[in-house]
Amino acid sequence: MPFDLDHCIEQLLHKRLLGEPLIREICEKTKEVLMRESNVVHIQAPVTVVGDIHGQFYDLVEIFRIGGYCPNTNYLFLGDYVDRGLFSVETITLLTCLKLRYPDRVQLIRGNHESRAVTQTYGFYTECIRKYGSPNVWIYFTDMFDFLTLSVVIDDRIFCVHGGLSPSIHSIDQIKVVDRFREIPHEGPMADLVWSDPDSDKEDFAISPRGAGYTFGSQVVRKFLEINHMSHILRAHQLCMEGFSVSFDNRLSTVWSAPNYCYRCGNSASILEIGPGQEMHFNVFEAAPENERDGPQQAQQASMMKIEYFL
Amino acid sequence: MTTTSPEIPSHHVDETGVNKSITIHGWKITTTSTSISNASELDSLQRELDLTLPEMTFGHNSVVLSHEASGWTYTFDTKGALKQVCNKELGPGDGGVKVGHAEAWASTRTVPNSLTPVSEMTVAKPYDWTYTTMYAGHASTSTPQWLPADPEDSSQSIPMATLTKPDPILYYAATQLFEDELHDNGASMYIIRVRVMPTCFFLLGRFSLRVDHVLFRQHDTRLFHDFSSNMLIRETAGWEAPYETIRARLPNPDDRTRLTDTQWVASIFNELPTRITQNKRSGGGTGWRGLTRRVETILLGRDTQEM
Repeated sequence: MPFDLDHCIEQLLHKRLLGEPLIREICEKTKEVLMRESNVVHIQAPVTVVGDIHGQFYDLVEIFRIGGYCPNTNYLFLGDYVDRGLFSVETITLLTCLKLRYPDRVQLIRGNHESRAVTQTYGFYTECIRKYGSPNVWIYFTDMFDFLTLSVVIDDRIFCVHGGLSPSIHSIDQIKVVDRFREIPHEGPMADLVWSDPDSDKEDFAISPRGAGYTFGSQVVRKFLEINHMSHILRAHQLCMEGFSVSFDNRLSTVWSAPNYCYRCGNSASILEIGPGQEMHFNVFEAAPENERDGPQQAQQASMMKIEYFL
Repeated sequence: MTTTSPEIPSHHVDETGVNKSITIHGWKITTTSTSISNASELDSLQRELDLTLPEMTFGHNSVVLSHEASGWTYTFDTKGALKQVCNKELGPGDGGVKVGHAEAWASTRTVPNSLTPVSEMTVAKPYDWTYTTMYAGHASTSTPQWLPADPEDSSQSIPMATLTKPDPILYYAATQLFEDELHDNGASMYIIRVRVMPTCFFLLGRFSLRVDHVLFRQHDTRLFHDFSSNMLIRETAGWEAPYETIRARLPNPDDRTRLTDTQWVASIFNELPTRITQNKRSGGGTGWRGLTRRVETILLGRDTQEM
């Protein structure tokens, strides 16, 4: 490789940006790695599972401090790396370098924010322009997002995805035939996997009152696990004050890894440590101390806290 | 701290933990700003309101204005705001909308392994997923009552001249009641700001909604009180505009981040003519009943007997 990845990772851990040509090269190489991955990547425990990060770079570094650095700890990231937080570029550059450096020890699943349409509204696009003066870096990364896998299975027992289940998918083999190398569509199984949410008051699939998207209930979860001979579904996508939640008689867990989300929710975050025998431990943590000096004050919503003569 | 000077009236500002309050001219104003509610708090609020709650529900946040002489209090809180969100099938005037790609979505879907169109599939319990609320705060007692202001009497309207004067701000606080990102189809939120100057206080409670590729909506509540009078003035107003109308105002069309800045959107609403933004037929075209402007006043007594 013409560049020194270890050096890049070192720089990034100190929150130093990489140059635009270097990012282009890293994204190209990473695409080649991702292209070879199935829509369902099979891995073995032990592994530490991370939920939404949303550009909260200091909290990602906090995750490595409490969960261990790569490659000493295997990581599975469930998506939503960018948008909303202040450091989407730093976050996704670091994760991409780690994936490229340790392709078998770091897994990156696609979240609904790993999309051109969503990142144009929720901050990643603007941040790229602000930090690089052109949309090129945004183009390199969003092109790479099209190659990210959709799901991971741990030890043939635990199904991991960003959002949830789809009424078009009964068996995991049906995920394998989805054409994933594209922008996330509005509808279809690929959209459902990154968008849908559980609803523990329901048994079946239901259409959201928004007019698009599904929620899935207890029977859906039970049947999916039975058909696929699995024991648990692991997903992210939904904020919770405690940093995690376990539902459907311990058949489904939500992991949330962005503490004090958007620098104002005051919530805890967690990473899920899965041991060799699939024993699960939610390692709960709070916002990293660095956020105090380099962060929320610049956040847009924080502007409402600034004393002003509003009318 | 207690300050006395000819211009600055005696007042006391107290900041303890998540509460920030000021005592001034017989009023106590307390703003609470803390974390989102935890799972068990959400469960009980959800049961009470019979509503799927916003992703960020700040169940403890509030602003309480308390008039010590009369014992009258006026509160803005999360439960109050969400109580006014429609929790059943939406009807005329509720201003119901679907996400931008709803039609395309429904037309392409069929229930797997069958020919049943998706429209025959169960729809989750209907509610207003945009969390539209015209909440203007609520009083501790039903009397005294808010009465329509006299449009001829300038003392019965919010004096913009007073509010644009750069008087010292003795107290400033902001808090948020809820926010929901509408599954990345937009955003819905309720934010309250309050400032106290030597002669008056002013509060702005704002509901802001963006549904991507569909519309923008806003509902404001302004409260003003001049310490030298016994009158409180309340102005409520709502606006709507098609998404594209606001989007056309972006300085750089590729950068849509400003659309997430509710203060920027509010400034555009301000510039657009009300025949667009407060017209049930144009605007967002939803027929929402909130597209009006109303000014009311309430007279506070010196003690509860006088009311």
